[in-house]
Amino acid sequence: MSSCSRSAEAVEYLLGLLDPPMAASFLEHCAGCPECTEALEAEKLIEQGLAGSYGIPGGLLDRIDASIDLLDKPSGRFTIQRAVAASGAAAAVLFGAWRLLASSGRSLLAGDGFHQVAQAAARAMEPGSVWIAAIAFGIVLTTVTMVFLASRYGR
Amino acid sequence: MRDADGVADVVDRAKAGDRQAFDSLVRDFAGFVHALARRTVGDPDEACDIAQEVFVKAWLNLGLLRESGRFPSWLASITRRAAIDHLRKRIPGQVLEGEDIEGYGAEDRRPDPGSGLLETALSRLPERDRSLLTLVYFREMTHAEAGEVLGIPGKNVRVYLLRARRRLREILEGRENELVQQIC
Repeated sequence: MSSCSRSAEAVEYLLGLLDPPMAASFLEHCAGCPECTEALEAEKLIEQGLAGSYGIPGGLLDRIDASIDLLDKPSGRFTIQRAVAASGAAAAVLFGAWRLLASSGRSLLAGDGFHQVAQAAARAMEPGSVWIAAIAFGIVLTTVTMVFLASRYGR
Repeated sequence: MRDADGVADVVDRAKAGDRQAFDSLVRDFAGFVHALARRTVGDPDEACDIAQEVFVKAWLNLGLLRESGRFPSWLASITRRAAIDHLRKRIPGQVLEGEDIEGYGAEDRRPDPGSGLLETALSRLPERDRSLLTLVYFREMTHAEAGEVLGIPGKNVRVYLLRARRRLREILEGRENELVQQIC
């Protein structure tokens, strides 16, 4: 511990807390006081140490980069959104085509059992329930597509 | 270190979605964010987790920053909040609030075996003193900026700084030669 009472002024001097006459007086005092000179040098050394760089730990930049890449991965989220719209639209088109062909007595797949099944289903359904079936079909198709894409893209 | 206008320019580009500009900010500020987090929580590995979390938050919320030139203090505020949240989680059942956090010192913190004399001395200061010294000396923030981050009125920052420096000096008293060897 310094025995000079003015050594405490060293840090005040460095922080600019002394007014100009006091600062000048302190510097003048330092010229003849080794303890205060030493205190001033020690404070400057501490400032130097505080300003010293840690450096960036190895791998940190890559970690940050990877986590932002995950956020920026538009393909997964965008594909799912597009898939919802596309599969919904596809379901509507398929169902509409089926209804049109079934009502005109033709089949989507000529010569197979689908035509008979479709006509039987159309006859069995009330007009309201046909649309309920259409919506259900769309939901099922959309859900299956989303589950597939979610498992593939992991989001 | 990039000047304030330079930082604001890069921040503006990052706000517009320029990922390379944001990567450049990450490179410029990662050391500072890690240092501030490390000096708050005392553990370099935990500080890496915090730094990662901070930059993710910054990327997500950059659009909310009105004045691009204030990016350093904005980032420092996010870092300090994140680090304090980590401290809160670390002590189950103990709620750290206001003064508790400010006074959160070495006795409660994990030792950092890789740190030198100055870091060890810093770790014995209250959290606010450590953060203040890091903001002003490590990042060379103005007193007004540092005060904004820490919630201290700008005109009082010098007084807080003086108190922190005196506390640090007391801890380091008599170990100047050791300090010279480590720093120079």
